[in-house]
Amino acid sequence: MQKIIYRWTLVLLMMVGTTRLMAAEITPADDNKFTVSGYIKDKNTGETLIGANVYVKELQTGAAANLYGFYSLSLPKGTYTLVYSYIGYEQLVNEVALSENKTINIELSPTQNNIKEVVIVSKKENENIANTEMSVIKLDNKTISKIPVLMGESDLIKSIQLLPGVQSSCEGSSGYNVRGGSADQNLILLDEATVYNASHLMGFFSVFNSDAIKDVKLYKGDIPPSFGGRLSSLLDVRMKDGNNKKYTASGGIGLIASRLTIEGPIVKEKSSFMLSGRRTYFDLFLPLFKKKDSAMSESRLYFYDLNLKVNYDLNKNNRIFVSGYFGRDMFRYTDEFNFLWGNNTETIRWNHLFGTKMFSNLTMLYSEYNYELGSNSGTPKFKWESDMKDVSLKYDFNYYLNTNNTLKYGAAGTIHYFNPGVFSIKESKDEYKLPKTNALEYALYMSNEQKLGALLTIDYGLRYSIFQNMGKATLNRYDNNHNYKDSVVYAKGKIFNTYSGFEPRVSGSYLLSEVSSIKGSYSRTRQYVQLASNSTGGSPLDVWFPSSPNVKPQISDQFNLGYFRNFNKNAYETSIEAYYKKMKNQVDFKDYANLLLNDKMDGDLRFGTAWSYGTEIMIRKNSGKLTGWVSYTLSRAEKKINGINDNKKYLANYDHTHNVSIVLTYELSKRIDVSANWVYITGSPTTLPTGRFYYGNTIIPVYSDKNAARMPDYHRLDLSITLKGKEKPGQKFYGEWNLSVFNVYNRKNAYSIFFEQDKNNPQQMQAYKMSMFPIVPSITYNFHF
Amino acid sequence: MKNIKFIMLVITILFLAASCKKKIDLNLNNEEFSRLVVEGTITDEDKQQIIRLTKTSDYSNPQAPIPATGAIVSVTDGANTYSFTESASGVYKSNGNFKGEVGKTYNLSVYFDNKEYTASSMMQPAFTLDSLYALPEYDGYSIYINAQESPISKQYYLIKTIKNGILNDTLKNWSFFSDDLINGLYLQDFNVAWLEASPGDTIQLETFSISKEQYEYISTALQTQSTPIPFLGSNPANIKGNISNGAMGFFQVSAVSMKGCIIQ
Repeated sequence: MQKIIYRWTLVLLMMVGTTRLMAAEITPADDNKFTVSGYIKDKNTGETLIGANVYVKELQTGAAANLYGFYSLSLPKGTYTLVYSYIGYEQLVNEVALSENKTINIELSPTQNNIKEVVIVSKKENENIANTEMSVIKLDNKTISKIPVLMGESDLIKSIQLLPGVQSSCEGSSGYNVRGGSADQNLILLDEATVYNASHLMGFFSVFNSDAIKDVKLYKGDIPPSFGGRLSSLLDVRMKDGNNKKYTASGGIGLIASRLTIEGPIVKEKSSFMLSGRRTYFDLFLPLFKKKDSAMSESRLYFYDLNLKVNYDLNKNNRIFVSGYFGRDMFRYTDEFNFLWGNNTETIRWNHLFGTKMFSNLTMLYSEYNYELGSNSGTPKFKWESDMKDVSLKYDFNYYLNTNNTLKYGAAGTIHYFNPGVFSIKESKDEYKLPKTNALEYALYMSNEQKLGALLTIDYGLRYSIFQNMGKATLNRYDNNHNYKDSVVYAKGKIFNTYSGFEPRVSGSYLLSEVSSIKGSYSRTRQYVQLASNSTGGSPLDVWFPSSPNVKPQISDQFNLGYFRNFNKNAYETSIEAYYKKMKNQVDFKDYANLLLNDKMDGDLRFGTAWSYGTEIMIRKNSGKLTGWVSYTLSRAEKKINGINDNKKYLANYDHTHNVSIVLTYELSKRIDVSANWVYITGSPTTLPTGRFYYGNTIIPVYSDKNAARMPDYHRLDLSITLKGKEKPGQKFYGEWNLSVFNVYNRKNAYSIFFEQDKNNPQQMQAYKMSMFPIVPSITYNFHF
Repeated sequence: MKNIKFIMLVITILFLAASCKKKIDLNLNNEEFSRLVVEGTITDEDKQQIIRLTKTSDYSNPQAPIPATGAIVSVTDGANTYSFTESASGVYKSNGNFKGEVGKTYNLSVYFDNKEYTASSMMQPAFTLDSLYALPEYDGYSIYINAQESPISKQYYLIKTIKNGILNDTLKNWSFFSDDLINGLYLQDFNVAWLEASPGDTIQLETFSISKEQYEYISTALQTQSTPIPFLGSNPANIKGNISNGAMGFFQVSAVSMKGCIIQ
C-alpha cells in the first residue's frame, strides 16, 4: 500500500514539476505572443459557464471555456474584437489592445426573452460544426426542467433517454443503454465522483435533483482520454457552484416530492455555497391504508437527496471546491422488514493557474454505494449488507500552448473496495459472507487538440490504464467447465493480478463550409468493473465486481462518422452519425444464474463478444419560441456468448431497431410554455416458449432461441404546460405552476409478457401482458426568490 | 435463502401495485419438435416403482401430455437391474416391488425412438418429521413442523402437501429448501407450507430427500412460472434436468417420509 502511495506521489510530483517548467519557460520565450485568459461567468449568479465561447473576429479563431469556465488564448500583439457567447446568454463584445498578458473575466447575462433574437450573429455560434466533438450532447438545467415527466419530477436521466443513440433499459428505469452497450458500461460522474447506482425507488426516479445541477454532458462514443473505466459512455454531471452575488432560494412542491435549494455568497464574489435537498412523501399516504392493514401505516417508503457545494476563490490563481452528495432510499414494512440503499459521493477540487496558459485541477474523490436489508422482528431476524467504495486522486492539466494547440494531460488513481455481501442471522449467529476484495485502477493520459489550417481540427490522445487486484482477497478458481476447483487467499496489500493497456482516442473535424462539417472518431475503451445483474433495468441489490484472473477486462473499439449541418443562421443544428462498436470479453450470466449472495458467482459467468451498429439523426433547435429536438436512431445490438443460446448469436435485451423521440417546447406567451414529447421504440427482444411439458401438474415451457421474439412496439406521448406568475418590476418572488400528463393517450405498453394456466382449463396457457404506467397527471409548483 | 424470496416477493408486489395485467392474444411460433420428457421417482418404499414418459408438445395447444409409448426402461444400482414394463400408455412400472436404499446411486436407462437416454441420481437420507400442526393464517392454514435436520451438510428437501388424501402436485404449492443456513439444527415451529383448508381436514406432509441438482431443477422450474419483471431480471431459458441426450424432465431418487395432522 505504502509503495503505491509513494509511486503515485512521485508521478504527481513529476507532473507538477514539468508543468512548472513549461509554464515558466515557454511563456516568456514566446515574445511576440500574449495571452488573454480568464473565467466566463453568469452575471446574475457568478456560476462559471462550462463550454462558453470566445471568438476572435480578426483571426477567425477562438476557444471554449473548460469545465471550470476558464479560457486562454495566445495571440500576437494587436487589437482584437473578442466575442463572448453562450447558448441562452447575450453576447458580449470586447475590444482588447493586447500588448501584455491580460486577464479578462467576463460575465454574460442570460437572454431575457427569446422573442428578440440577438442581432449580431457571430461565427462562433456554429461551435457544434467547428469543434471535433461528436457523439456528444449537452443538456442544461433549463432544458431538462421543461421536459414533461412522470409525476412532474424533472429528471436528468429520463431526459437523457430521449436522446438519439440512448435507449431506456426498461420502462420506468433509470438504466440506459448507449449505442448497444449494457447499462453498466456507462460512467456516471457527479462532480467527477462515480455514481454507482443512479436510481431511486426502483428506478422510477434518478438520483439527480435537477435543481442542484448546472450542466450535463453525455459522451456516446468519443470519450476524452482523461476519462475511462467504462466502455460505452460518459455522463458528466456538474453541480451548481452556488450564487456568489446574492442569496437565492428555489424549490418546488410536487405530488410526490418537494425540493428546496438555497444558495448564496459566503464572502461576496469570492466564495459561495449551494445546498439542495429533495424528499418524496409517498409514504405519507400510507396511513390511508389503515383500515385495511394497520401495518401499512407503520411502513415507510421514501427517498431523499442532499447536494452540497462550497467554493472559495483564494486568489486569482487558486480556487477550491468542496462538494458532496448523499442520497438514501428507505423501504420499511413495520419492524419485519427494512431495506435501504443509497449513494454517497464527495469531491474536493483545487483549481490552480500556473501563469496564464496552464490550468490545473487536483481532485480528491470518495464515492460509495451500499445497501442494507434486515428484519428486526421476523423469523428469522436477519441482516444483509453490501457496499462498495472508491477513493481516488486525479490531477489534470490544460495547457493552452497557442491558438492551434491545446494540450490536456494528467493522471488518476483509484482504490476500489468491494464488499459484495454479508448475510447474518441473529438466532443462529450464522454469518454467510462473500469474500471482500480490493483493486487499484490508475491511468495516465494526454491529448492535444490541434488546428491544422482553418478547416481541419484533430484531437488525438492516449490513455494508459492499469488495473490490479489486491489482497486481502479470496480468489476462487474454476476449471474449464466453470466448476469450482479451489480457492487461494491473498494477504493484505498483495497484488495478485495486473491488467493494463493503451486506449487511443482520435477525433477530427473538417469544415466543408461555415455551416457544415464532417467528423470522424475512433476510440478504444477498457472496463475493469462490471455489474452483476441479469435484469434489464438494474436493481438496488446488484453488486459490482472487478476484473480478476477469472474475468478479463472488457475492451471496446468504436468507430464513428458524422455529418453536421446548421440551417437558418445556426438556429437549427442537424447531424447524422453512424457508429460501429465491437466489444471483447463481454460478461453474461448462465441461464438461471444466481447473482444474489453467491460466493461462487464467477462460475456462473459466461464470456463472449458483443457488437452494435447504427445511425442517429438529430435535428435540434436551441433558440426562438420553439425549442427542442427530433431524433431518430436505427440500430442493432447483438451478442455471442459461449454457453448461452447454444453459442449462437442473439439480440441484446436492449436492441431496439427504431427509436424516435420528439421533444418540443413552445413559448405561447411570456407566461405560458407548453411542452410535449413523444417516443416510439421497437419492442424489446424477448424469449417466448414454443413447447411445453408437465412437471407434476404444472406446465413447464420449452424455449427455442434466446430473444427471438419481440414485445409489442412502445409509444407514448407526454404533455406539460408551465404557467408563470405575472412579473412586476421590483418583484422578488417568482412562482410557476407546472401541469403535466404522462402517457396522454393511455397506451398500455407491454412491460412484460407472461403466461398462466387457465383456471377453468388447466391445459390452456393464457397469455397476459403487464403494463406499468397508465395516464398519470401531476401538478408541481416551482418557485425562486 | 427464504428471505431473499420474501424480499423478491415484496419488490414484486411493489411493482405489481403500479402495474396492470391484461389478457392478450399472442401468436406463438409453434415450431416445437417433440422431445422426450422423463418424470419418475425411485423411493425407499417397497413398491412397484413408476417412471412416466411423455413428449413435449406445442405450447399454445391445450392438450394433455402426449405419452411416449414403446420405450425400453430399466434402472440399475450397479448390482441389480430392474426392468420396467409399460402398464398404461407412457406409464412404466417395475416388474415387481423393490425399494431404493440411502447412499446408493441409481442409473436410469431409456431406449426410445432409436435413441438412448440416461440419468443417474443418489438417494439421500430421509427428512423425518417429529410432529406438525396447522395455524390459521391469511384465510388459510400455515403448516409448522418440528424436526431434526441431519448433521450432514448439503442436504436438500422437497415437501408436498396431501389434503384428505389428495396430493397437491402443483409446483407453486411445493415447498423445497436446502440446509445451507439450518444445517444440523432442530427445526422448531418451522413454517413449511400454507394451504386452503377447513377444520376437520386431514393434512399430510410427504417429505422427499432430493439431490442438489434436483433442488436447482425445481427452483428453476418455479422461476419459469413467475411473472417476469424486467427490472428484476428475467431471461427465460430451458430448465436443465439430469437426463442426457437433450431430453427434458428429471429422474428423482428420494427417501420419503409421511406425517399428518387434523386441522382443529
